[in-house]
Amino acid sequence: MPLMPKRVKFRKQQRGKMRGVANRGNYVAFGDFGLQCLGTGWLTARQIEAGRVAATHYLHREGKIYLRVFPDKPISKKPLETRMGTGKAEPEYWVARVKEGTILLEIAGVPANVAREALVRVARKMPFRCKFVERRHA
Amino acid sequence: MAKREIPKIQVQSRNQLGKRYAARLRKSGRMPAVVYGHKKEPLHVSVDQLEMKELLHNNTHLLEIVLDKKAEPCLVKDIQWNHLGSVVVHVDLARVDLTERVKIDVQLTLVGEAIGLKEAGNLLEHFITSLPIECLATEIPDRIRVDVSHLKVDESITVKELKLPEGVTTTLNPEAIIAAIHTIAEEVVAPVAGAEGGAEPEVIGGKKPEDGEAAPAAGAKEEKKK
Repeated sequence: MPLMPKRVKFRKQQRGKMRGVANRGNYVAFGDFGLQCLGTGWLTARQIEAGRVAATHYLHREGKIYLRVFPDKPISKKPLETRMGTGKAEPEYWVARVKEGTILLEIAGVPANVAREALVRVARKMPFRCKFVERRHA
Repeated sequence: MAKREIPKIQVQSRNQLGKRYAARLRKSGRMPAVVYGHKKEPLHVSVDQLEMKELLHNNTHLLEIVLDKKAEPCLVKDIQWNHLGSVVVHVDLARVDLTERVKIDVQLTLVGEAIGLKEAGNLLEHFITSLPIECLATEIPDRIRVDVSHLKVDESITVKELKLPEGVTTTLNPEAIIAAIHTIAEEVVAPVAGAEGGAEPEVIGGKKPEDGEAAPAAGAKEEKKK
């Protein structure tokens, strides 16, 4: 099952706009290291899952991975060779709205060099430029 | 405890306030800050970015601001970062009396290699990373180090086990867990559907399909469109 909400209030959503930068979810909160997104856009459930699998595969059961984004926005798409009109199409996939500065994924319990390597692999699966960040202390 | 020297930082008063002036200030290598407390008027100042960055990097909590050759001890009360967490954009400084006890959050660092981590598949989780403490302004430690070298699997360190410096107390619950080691559970990988959007979430307050009747049939609708 792809990542998606269990229950929703409405099956379809309008596209919306993403203005500005991330003012929340923009610091490492759970793990020791994180991957920070440097772009703004939609991150599909597939991309998130691909990143998670890449990190899990590299870490070999060591450390803990925290996903900080969740795809809760349904994106609808008209089937191929369909005429325009006749209403909004059916939801096709799910995305997370991501703004510049959002932490996408965090890792805890591994040394910095291992975390960096794992997060570099995740970054390759992402549609944005990403940055490796460490937890900021008080 | 040996008396530590309080770092000094030169500040300049600023009377042009607002985001435009603040942005210009940052561009010129300085940073806006505010000094308040002790029932005096708040004072808007600017400090050198590099100097302040170095002080904050060294976990400085107490510093002396020098304005017109007058020095005043201050506590770093709040730090504002940009959205990427890479640049300090503003600092709050609170006036402090060196003889008063103050409440402040101090970084908690784990040191040593835990015994429980020598086996693969174990994880050291660090739950509390900053500790709220109460102590004399001159005795604020830059960080509190917690030795975890004796920790085994399924063991934890609580606040009451902490060895705090003399004169330092914490306001946190003594039973609160700072760090613990446990075995990572095997991850259950859910079967990935062949195509995205195979299943649909339940619609809150939506009509439930009756028996024999299919859920809102996308296929049927599309056929109609063609």
